[in-house]
Amino acid sequence: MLTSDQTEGTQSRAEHTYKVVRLIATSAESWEQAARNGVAEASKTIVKLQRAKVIDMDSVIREGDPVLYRVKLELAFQLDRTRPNPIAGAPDIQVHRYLIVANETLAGDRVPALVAERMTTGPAEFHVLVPATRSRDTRRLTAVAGDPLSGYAVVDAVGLREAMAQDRAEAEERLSTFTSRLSDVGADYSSEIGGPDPFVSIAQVMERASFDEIIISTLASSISRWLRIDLPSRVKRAHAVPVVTITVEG
Amino acid sequence: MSESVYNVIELIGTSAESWEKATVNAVTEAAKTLRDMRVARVIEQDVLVENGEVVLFRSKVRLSFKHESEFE
Repeated sequence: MLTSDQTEGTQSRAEHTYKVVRLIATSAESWEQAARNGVAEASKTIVKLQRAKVIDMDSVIREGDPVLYRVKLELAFQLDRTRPNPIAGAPDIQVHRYLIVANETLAGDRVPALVAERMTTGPAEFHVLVPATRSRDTRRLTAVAGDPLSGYAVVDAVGLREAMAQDRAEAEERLSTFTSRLSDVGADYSSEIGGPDPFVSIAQVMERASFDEIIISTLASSISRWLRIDLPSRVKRAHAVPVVTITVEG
Repeated sequence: MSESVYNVIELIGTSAESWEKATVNAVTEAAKTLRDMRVARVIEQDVLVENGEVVLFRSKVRLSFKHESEFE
């Protein structure tokens, strides 16, 4: 252990428990850049990340040249729910942590209403994950790219990249509108954009954070692709955390 | 081969740029006061993070140098 401690003794004297996670981050440029990438990824959910320790470094060699620098990092996030009381001198508080997973339904009133409801039951922290789900356009382009029956179909790589960028931009826009509503009601939150697969995105978040409940908001059952792939049950089985599903009429 | 004794110390060097710089900083600082340094071995590396960004690269360096008796 180096001199600076993982724990932060200045704000709270409570006893804390941390969960240690290891991750491997890569960069084509340098180990330093790889470490920056890993820290950026971990910081999406670990808000007060202060230190990451290097466990291992290596590089991938192709034809005698290093093509990829990899660094294995060890870092920790607070597992317990004890937080310093915003009122100075008052005893520590216990928070509940909620993971909100939604994309198209963020714009409605159902998710904000649920947030408000959770806030009435006690101190709460929210993490909003918006998987950048594939639009119809993107799906059409990926289907062509991945369909062996289409033979030598011309893969529109540029079009696909643009469509995916568009998906991400839309996710970002919905997220920023939603988080400004969270700010308005004084909710304590962090947020991130995930990959196209909601199950994988949730699994990635669960690697570096802990929650008391996962709230999945999706479109009505007849048109929801998340319900068609049975996302709520799969998430529940994979993570042993209560899952609440809300469906919103599209 | 003559018998000798070595001192071993550990230092932590820091740099906002890289672990290499951090290591060099530790060694150059040590060189100001130590003679006959042979090997500097990096034994631990980490980064300090502020607001989700790496602000400091740190290298812990183990240095050995020949022990000199005052009476020699």
